[in-house]
Amino acid sequence: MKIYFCYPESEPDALIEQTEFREQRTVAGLSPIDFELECTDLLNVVDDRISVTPLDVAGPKPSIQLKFPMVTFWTYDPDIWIYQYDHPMTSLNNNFVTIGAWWNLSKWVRNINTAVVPVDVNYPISIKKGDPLYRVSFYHKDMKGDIILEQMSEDQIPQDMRKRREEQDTIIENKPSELPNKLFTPYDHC
Amino acid sequence: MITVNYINDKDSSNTLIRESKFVDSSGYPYTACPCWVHKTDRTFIVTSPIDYTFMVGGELDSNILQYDKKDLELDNPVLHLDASHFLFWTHDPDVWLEAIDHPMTSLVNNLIVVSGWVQLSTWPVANGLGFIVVDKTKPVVIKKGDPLMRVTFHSPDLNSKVQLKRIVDDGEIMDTYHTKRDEAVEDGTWKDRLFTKGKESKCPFARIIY
Repeated sequence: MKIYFCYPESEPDALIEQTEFREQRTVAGLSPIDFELECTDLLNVVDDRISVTPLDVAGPKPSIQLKFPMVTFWTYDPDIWIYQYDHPMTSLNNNFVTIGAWWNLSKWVRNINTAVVPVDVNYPISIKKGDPLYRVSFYHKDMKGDIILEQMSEDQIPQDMRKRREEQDTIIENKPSELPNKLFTPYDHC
Repeated sequence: MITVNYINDKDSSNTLIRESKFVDSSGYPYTACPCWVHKTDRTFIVTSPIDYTFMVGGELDSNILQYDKKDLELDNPVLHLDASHFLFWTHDPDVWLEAIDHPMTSLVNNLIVVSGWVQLSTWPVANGLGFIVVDKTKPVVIKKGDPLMRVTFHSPDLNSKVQLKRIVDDGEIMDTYHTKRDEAVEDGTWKDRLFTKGKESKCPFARIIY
């Protein structure tokens, strides 16, 4: 099973250079930068490395999108699922926990960064370059099968994958009720 | 739908809770994300059944902790919490059990549970609580009810829902499990069973005794 990945060219090089892959089925996204963020008054923070909307601060604690490191994964093999989730050290070292999510990568291509929730909003989120921020694991119905990761450049993303990614953005915007069918059903049921 | 049976060997009051119901996430925007909902609805939290505090290098209760002395010398000592075990098994074919650490234990408990996965259809699993100590100069503090790890189940169709079925055991099932597990370890067949695709069987006891 082969999975391709690249770093979107829209991201500054400094934000993506340090992402590191550690194992075959589970990899870690490492921070390419030192970063600090106070968890108060987030809607007025001007920083292109994060994204916070009014909805994100409506909960008991804020949810914050960190735009680094950002990676795009895609595959042509059927029924490979991707699970992006927390790293066990961030609550202690960085004052946040990553929000997990998974989907059928064979049917859904998207950029991955990370959404986080602070552990204690009275303290800043504090990240050092090289800190692991999240993990990504891959699953397939043949759990013993090898997963091969191959890095590509942004301009090597095949046209059909680019088109699929654009179409998916349209679904998110206009037909969110179709998302479960697109995200989770087996590849050969589409 | 896949069905996973389980028993609890020591503390019948200790149960497994779906991650989606373990913490009240109402109000958070990510609860509207189908990718979050789908995963947390198929993941279960294992909590501590006991209060226990210890220091590496201090007095360790052998009724609660198992360890090799050499493992205490590591930068991050490795121990096993022998407090309560869930025994899992399934009659469905090709179901895998994955144990994953919980993201708060490094901060709250000064430990991280060791992750792993096995083929549950051929290898009934008594979940272990092997863990590393994050900072051995500080105490490991565990409170009853603290989330320590997560378990999740994967079938060939990852879209399948997961049903956990609790079985009341008078000790026979757990005894049989330990006996057959020891036999498999002794004759070396356990290596194949850990990761081999499961065969369909209608006999529930076949799963327990292989």
